[in-house]
Amino acid sequence: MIVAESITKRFDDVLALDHVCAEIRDSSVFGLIGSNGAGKSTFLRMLAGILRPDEGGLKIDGEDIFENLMVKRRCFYISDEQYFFPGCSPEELKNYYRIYYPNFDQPRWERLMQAFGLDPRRKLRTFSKGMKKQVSVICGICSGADYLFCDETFDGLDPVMRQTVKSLFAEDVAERGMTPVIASHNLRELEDICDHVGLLHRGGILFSRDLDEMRLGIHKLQVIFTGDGADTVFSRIKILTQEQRGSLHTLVVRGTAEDIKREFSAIQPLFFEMLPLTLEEIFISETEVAGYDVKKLIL
Amino acid sequence: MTSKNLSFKLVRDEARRNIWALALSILGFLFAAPLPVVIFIQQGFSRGNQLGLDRAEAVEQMLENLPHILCEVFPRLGLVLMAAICGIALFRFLHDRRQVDFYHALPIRRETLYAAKFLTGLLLVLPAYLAARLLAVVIAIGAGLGSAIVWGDLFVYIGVDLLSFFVIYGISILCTVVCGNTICAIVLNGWALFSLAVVKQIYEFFAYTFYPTHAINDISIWYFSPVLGVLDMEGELQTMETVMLAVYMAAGIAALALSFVLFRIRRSERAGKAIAFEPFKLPLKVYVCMVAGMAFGGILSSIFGYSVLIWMLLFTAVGTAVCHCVMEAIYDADIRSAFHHLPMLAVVTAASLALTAGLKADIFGYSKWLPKESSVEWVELYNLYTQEKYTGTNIGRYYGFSSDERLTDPAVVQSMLRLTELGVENLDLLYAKHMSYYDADMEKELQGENGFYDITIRYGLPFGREKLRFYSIPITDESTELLNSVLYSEDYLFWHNQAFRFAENMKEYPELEPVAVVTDCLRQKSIQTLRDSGQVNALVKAVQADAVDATPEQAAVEGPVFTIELSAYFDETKPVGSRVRLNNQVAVYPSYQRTLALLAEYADIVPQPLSVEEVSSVRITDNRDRGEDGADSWFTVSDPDEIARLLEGAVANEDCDRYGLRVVSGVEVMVTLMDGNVVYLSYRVETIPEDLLTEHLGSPLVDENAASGAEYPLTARA
Repeated sequence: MIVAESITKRFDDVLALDHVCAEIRDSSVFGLIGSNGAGKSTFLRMLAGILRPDEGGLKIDGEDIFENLMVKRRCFYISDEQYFFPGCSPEELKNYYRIYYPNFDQPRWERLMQAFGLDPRRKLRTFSKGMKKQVSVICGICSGADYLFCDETFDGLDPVMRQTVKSLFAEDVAERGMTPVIASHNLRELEDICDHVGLLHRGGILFSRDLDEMRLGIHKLQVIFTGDGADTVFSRIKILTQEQRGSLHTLVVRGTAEDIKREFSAIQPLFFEMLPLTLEEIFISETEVAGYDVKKLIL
Repeated sequence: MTSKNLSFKLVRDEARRNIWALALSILGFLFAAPLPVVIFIQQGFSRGNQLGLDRAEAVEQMLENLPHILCEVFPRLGLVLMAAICGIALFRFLHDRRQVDFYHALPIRRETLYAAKFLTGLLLVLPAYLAARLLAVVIAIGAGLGSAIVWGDLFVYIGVDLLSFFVIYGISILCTVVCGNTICAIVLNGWALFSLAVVKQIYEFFAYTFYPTHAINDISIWYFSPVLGVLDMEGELQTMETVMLAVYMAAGIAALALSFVLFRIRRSERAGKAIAFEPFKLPLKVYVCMVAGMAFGGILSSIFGYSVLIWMLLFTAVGTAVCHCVMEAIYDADIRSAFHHLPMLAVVTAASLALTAGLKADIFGYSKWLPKESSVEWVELYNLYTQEKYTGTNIGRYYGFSSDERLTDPAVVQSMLRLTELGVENLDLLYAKHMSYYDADMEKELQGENGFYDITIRYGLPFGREKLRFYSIPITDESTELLNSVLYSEDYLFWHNQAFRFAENMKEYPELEPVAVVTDCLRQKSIQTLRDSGQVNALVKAVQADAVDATPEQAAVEGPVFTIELSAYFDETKPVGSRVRLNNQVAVYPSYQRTLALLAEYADIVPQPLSVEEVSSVRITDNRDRGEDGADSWFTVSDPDEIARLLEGAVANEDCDRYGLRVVSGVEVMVTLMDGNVVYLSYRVETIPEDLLTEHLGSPLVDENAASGAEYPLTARA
C-alpha cells in the first residue's frame, strides 16, 4: 500500500503539492484526476522516487521510496514525456530494462509486441507518439513491477488501444495484484478502469474515493410525483442536486439504491427511474457540494 | 542481482551507447602517438639516405631525438580534450528533465549510476591511449631504436598524462553536475580550467602597471591553469612542476569527491536551470564579476592608453556591472532579469573597485617584499644595467644570461639580500623613474651625481617557487662593493666564465679532444693552435684560477691581450650535422700570470703591446657632442709620433669578457696595421688623450662631464 502523509513540494516559489494525504491500496487501479498544473505529475514523480518531498512522508508498504532500491524495483514509471536513447529500438530498450528488473517477462514482452503489431527492431524515433506509449506500457507490464505509475499514458492512444491497455491492466491487477496509478485530466478515459479516484486541485487533494462506493452511494433519479408526500421524502433523503421540468424531477441523491427506492415507493410516484451516473456527473455533484465548479477544474 | 553485476552491465551498456567517444579516442591517439613516431623514423631514414649513411648510422642519428618524439605533447592534449568531452557528455543527462526522470525512476542508487558513468569515461579513453602509446613503443623498437627509450622518463611522462586526464575529467564532471544546462556547464568548465590563469594575468598586469619593482612573471601563468600547466610540462620534471602536479592531483581528487557528493544530493527538478545548486550561485557570480570587471578595466585602460587609476576604476565598474547583469540573465534564462539584485551589483562593484585601489596601494606588499634568508635556496643576477651620465650598459654583453644560473654561495646570497634591501629603501627613486618613463630630462635629473644600477634579482624559494624583483639602486660605494662581491665570486664565474662552461660541457663528452686557438687581441691574428689535450686542459684550469683571483682594481685598468677559443669535435670526418662541437671563448689579461706562463711554455707566446712600426694609420671617431661649429667627428693620423700618442691608453675592449674596464663610450679607435688587418680599440676613461682629440677635431666637448661618461663603472669606486 502506498501512503502519502502530508506531502508538500515546492519548486522555487511555486507550491506544487500542499500537504497531500492519500492512500492507495494494493491490487486496485487508482486514478489521479486534475487539471493542468494541479500537481499530478509531481505526485507521480515522487511516487517513482524522482523527487523528494519537502515535507511529509511517502511510503510503500511502510518504506520510504526515495533512493530505496528494493522499493523502486517494485515500481515502474511511464512519464508523460518519454525519453528513449538515441537510435534505440524496443528490443534494446527491453534489454536495458532487464538490467534493472530481474523478473522481466521476456516471452510475454515478445507476445505483446507482436499482438500490438510493433516491430522490436525498428528505431523508436520512427514510431508515432501512440506507438511509443504502447512500447512503454508493454515494458512496464512485463517488468514485473508491483506498482505502475502512468502519467497521461492514455493520451495519444486510439480508442481500441486504450481498451486493450485497460484490459491488460485489469488482467495484471487480477492475476498478480499489480497496482497501476494513472494520472489524467480526462475523466471519461479512466471511468471504466479505475477502482479509486483522487482529485487534485492546486496541489491539494479535494477528495479521494472508491469509485464503486461513489457509484453505490450516489444515484440519479427521475421522478414524477402524484399528490403530496414529495416534501416528506425530500426531507428524508440527501439530495445533492435537483432539477425540475414541469412535473419531472431530476434528482441526484446520496444513499444506497435500496434505501432510496424504499423511500420513494412509500409515496408511490407516478414515474420513478434510476439512471446511471457518469464519473463526470458524480464528480460534478460531489465538488459542487464542496463549493467548486468542477467544470473549471477538470475540463 | 548484485551491485557489481549491475555496475558491469551498466558500464557495458553505457560504453556501447557512447561508442562515438571510443572511436574518437582511437582515431585521435593513433594520430597523436604512433603516427609521429612513424613519420620521425621515415624522415630519419630518408635523411640518412641523403647523407649517404647506412641503416645503422641512420638509426644512430635518430637515437638522440627519439625520447622527445615519444614524449610529444599531442597524446596529452588528446587526453585533456577527451577528459573534458567525456566528463560533460556522460553526465549531461542531468540537464534534461526527461532524461533525469528516466534515470532517477530506475531502481538504481545514484552512487551506482555515478560510478557507471565515471567508469565508462575511463573505459572509452584510457585503453585507446595506452594502446596507442604501446604501439608507438613497439614501432620504435621494431625500427631498432629500442636502446634510446628511457623507460623511466617514459613512464613518468605517461603518469603525468594519466594524471592530467583524471584532473580534467574530475573538474569537467563537477561543472556538469553543478550546472543544469549544458551550455552553462561548458562555459563553467572553461572558466574552472582557465580562470585562475586569467586572475594571475590580471595580477601581473596590475603589478606591471602599478609596481616598478615588477619583473615579468614570478611563477609561470601557465601553472595556474591545469590544462596549460600539464601541457607545458615536458622532459624532466622540475621541482615546481612536481609541486604543481601534486596541487593538480589534490584539485582533481577534490573535484571528483565533490562531484560525487553533489550528484547524490542533486535535486531532479533542477534540470534545465543554469546552476543546479542555489548556494553556488552567489559566490560564482561574485568571483566571475570581479575577475571580469578587473580584466575589463585593465584591458580597456591599456587600450586607450589610460593606465591611470581613475580610468581603470571607471572601466572596472562598467565591466563588473555588465557582467553582473549578464550573469543574472543567464541564471534566470531571461534577459529581463538582468537588473535583478541591484544591491548585490553595488556590493560587487564596490568590492572590485576596492580591490583595484588596494592593488594600486600595494596592500599585499609586492614592492616591499624582502625574502627571509633562511628560505632562500639560490639567487640569480637576472639582469644588471648600469646607468651613468651619458651612458648605460647591460651586463649581458659580457656574461650573457643563463637560465641555469643558481648562485648558492652564502656570501653571494648575503650580498644579493643586502642589494634587495637597498632597492626597497630606494623605492621612491624607482617610483619617480616609473612616473618619468617618457621624460628624458627628469630621467637625467634622477640619475644624480653617480647614476644608478637597474638590477633584477631572481630568488629561488622552497618547493620550486621563484620570485623576481626589479630595483633601481643609486651607485654608491656600498652598492658597488656588493655587486663586485657577486660578479667576482667563484660562484658567479662558474656560471658565466667560458673556461668554466667549457670544462662543464666537456664532462658530458669525456671522449672529445679539446683544442685551443690563441689569438692576439691587439693584432686580431690567430697565432697558435694547441691540440694536446693535456696542455689544453691545463690551460683551462689556469684561466679558471686566474679569473677567480682577478680583482676589481685589475679589471678597471686591464684590457685583454689574448683570446683563447676552446673547441672540441666528436669526429671531424662526419657530416656537419652529426658532429658534436663545443665552442667557448675566454680572454686573457696581463694579470693572468698562470695562463701567460703556460702560453709561454707551450707555445712560446708572450703579450706584446702594439708598436708604432706595426701601424699604418689610426682613425679616431668621436661621436660626443662638440657643438654645431665643431669639425667632423673623425680624423685619421699616420704620423708615427702622433700614432704613438694616440695608442697610449687604448685597449682591446671588444674582446673583454668581464665587467670592470672603464672605457669612454662614443669614441672609437680604428687601427690599420701594416699587414692590412684592422683592429678596433677603446680608450680608458683615465687615459683618453682629450687634448689631442680636441686639437684634431677643432672644438672642445660641449659638456666636459661627457668625457667621464663611461661604461662599466662598477670598479671605479672599488
